[in-house]
Amino acid sequence: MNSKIKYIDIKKQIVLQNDNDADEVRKSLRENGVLLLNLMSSPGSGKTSIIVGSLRRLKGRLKAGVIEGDMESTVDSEKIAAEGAPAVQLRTGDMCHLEASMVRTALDTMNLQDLDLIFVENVGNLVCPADFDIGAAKKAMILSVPEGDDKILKYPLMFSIVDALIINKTDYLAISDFDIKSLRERMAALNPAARIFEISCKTGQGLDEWCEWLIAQADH
Amino acid sequence: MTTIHELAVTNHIAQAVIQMAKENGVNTVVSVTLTVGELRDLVPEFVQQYFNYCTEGTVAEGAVLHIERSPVTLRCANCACVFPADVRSQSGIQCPSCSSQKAAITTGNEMQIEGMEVR
Repeated sequence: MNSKIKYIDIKKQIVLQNDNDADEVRKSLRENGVLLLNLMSSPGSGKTSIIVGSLRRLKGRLKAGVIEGDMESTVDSEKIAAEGAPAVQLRTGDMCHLEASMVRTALDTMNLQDLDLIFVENVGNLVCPADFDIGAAKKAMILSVPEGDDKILKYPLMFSIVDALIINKTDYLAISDFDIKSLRERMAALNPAARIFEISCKTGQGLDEWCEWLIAQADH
Repeated sequence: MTTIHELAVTNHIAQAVIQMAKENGVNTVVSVTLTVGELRDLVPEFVQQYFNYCTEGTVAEGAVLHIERSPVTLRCANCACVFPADVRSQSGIQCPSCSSQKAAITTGNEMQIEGMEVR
């Protein structure tokens, strides 16, 4: 049988099931007054260090918890637990990014009424996490000085979707040709609304300003 | 099975196509035309392979994907002029109207099903 082929006009944006899940997560967090921050970067840029540095400075000001996403291992959540903050480790296995449904299962194990802020440390990857809304109210990324200032040209999507860009490991600037001015100019062209923070987790420089921003976001 | 970047996204696309086919009472999806913004990283051949895998045994099995890429456009923060831009180029971004170097992305991130050929 050769029935006729007809064309159906659809012209609809693909709404991924993940987008629906993310909206649900966002709604539930809003109802509980919890700010979810999706923290993304390449492996080794300093996500865990930024979170540890933040937890130490936020003590007594914001009640924070952490959801760790890794393909393997619990090393990161162990560091967080050592700071006394509630931590949930998600092992994604072969998935290179977190999705909203995974974050939801983690949130179901946390006491949201006792928390003001939850950091989600996404899987180390500058590509895929940018494609998947996890229901976070705010998104931040880290680019560390040793990675080079040209990554904004290679991964424009990630740089374009974040509310904050942390330039980490600024203690390396003296021995590097990382051009902060050029990165700031390119960021202004791509995503002028994003806040930029220059931080060294090693020296602690810049972490206070970052934490003030977090507190201001959590207050909204 | 290792998961490569396109598989997760393609699985979601496949589910969206199957859902839209159901909503339109379709027996077989012959082809799907998709517009994907230039900001999104994907390799069309992989997307087709994974789409075939994800739609086995469904109404969209065997459907051919036609993927069109839509350009990245920016809106100037100074004069609101909308212009196309290559955000991966070294040469930097400048508004053709007022030369400002501050802009925001207007298009480039879309993933839209334009239509389907169906039986």
